[in-house]
Amino acid sequence: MKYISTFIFALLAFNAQAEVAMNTDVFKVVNVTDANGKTSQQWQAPENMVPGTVVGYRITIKNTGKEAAKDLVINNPIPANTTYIADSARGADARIDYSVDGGKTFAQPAELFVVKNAKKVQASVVDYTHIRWTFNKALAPQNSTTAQYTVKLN
Amino acid sequence: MKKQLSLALAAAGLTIASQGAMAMTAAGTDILNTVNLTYSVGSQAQTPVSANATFKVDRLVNYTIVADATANLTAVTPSQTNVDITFTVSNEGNEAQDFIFSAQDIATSASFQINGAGTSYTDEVVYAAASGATFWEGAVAAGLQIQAGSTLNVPANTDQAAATKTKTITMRLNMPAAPAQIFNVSAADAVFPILTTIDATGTLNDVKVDTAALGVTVTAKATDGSGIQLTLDKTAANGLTTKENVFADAVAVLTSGTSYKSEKSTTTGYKFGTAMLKMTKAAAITAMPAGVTGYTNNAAIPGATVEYTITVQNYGTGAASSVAVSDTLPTTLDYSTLALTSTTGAATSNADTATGVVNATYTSVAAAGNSGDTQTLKFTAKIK
Repeated sequence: MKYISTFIFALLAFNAQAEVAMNTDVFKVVNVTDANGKTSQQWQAPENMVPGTVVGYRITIKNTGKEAAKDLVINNPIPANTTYIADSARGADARIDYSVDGGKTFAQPAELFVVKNAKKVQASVVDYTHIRWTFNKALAPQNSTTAQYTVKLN
Repeated sequence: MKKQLSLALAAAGLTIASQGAMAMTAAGTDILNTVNLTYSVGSQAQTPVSANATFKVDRLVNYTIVADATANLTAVTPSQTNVDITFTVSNEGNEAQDFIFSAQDIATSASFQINGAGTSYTDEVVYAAASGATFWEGAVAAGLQIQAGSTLNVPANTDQAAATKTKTITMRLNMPAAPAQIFNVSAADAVFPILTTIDATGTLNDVKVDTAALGVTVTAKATDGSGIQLTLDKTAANGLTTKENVFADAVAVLTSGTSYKSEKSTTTGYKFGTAMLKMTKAAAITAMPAGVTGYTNNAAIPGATVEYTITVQNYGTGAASSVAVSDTLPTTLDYSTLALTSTTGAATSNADTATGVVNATYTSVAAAGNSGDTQTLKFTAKIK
């Protein structure tokens, strides 16, 4: 019995490590005007996806372990054939940075520059290659958080 | 220095233009989103986690057809051949698109027939052809339509070379001799007016025919490549990982309930050219009476010879047919001396020495804009 207890203890210690599950879902983002003339953005099932469609990505992370997970960083290369929609990235308790060099470096939009015609100019959304969320709070066990952004299908 | 500056500006302009013309993502492309997560527990970095989401780009069916002569009808005259109206078909979708075309008479909704197959359009040959290759000509059973399978394929807007996403079709009209056969007018309205009188003072007479028009609706129908028009139900399931057709609003035509077909029309057409006849009449003393000689200038005295010259000119855009000229001479002339001196081009002509009436008819007076001609009639009589 003593050996068994030790074994269980060891097993518990192993399980005590945090496990964070992540998934991402795709949506079709449409503007819907209600009876009062108020327009709101709706995230719908991704049907009829053609050039020009606004595509929404929602990323959900959940701490399924028993210890807090910290230093959470989501790095999302912007999908090929899409263009990031300015200021569409969201994420609670996270600093959102962007890359214009294939994910080597990240910065805030105002600090992103690219070279065009041998001139250093402010980067535009077509230059963005990656989005990064750096969470500044730990994720407690059994807690979830989300990040999201939208792109336009080229 | 100035030259260098302008070159630099031109280069910058090109860059902006190419950025503006963003190529469309081709239908069927898989859009993959891969998300990566790193985190740590305590001070220990954990194994990174990743997640994917994929969807397949659907097929956007979107296009335009524009007639080059939309604003102005194209003028035709009887028996004129090869009167072409061109249409530009532009594919605004993300996959190459096949089309068939049909053409209808706006006034009657009748489809055009080829070589008189089955309708009142007996003489005209109306057909369309892809630029460089005829496919609308020949034995087509029903209407002004391309034979099944002989479709026009327009490349998609999935590369940045805009020149590859349009094609031109041509509608050709060969006019019959009698316009009533093709224009929606009664036979009585469709013949050109006959100029029957000349006013006593010889004042110019301008006569217009009413213009008759043939309106044509040409419809481009998106097909599946085998000549079958594309249709869809907007409520049908649309899979995340499959490629479905999606009609842009501009080319979706409701058939019933939630079912749509894809087609787009444009209208243009032909009109009669207008005949405008102008007539002039001049008189000149060409000979003194017998026994009066030695004068440099002829005088209008009894026995002198008067020559009248009547001209009929068509300065409109369409030929005038069955033109008749008639002139009754004043009684101060000796009718018995009346004689025609020049009747070039006249189909019939005569001078009546009893009544003093001159008649001439012309089968056709061509339009001035079409290397038109002037018909001239001359006759003489002596002063009483």
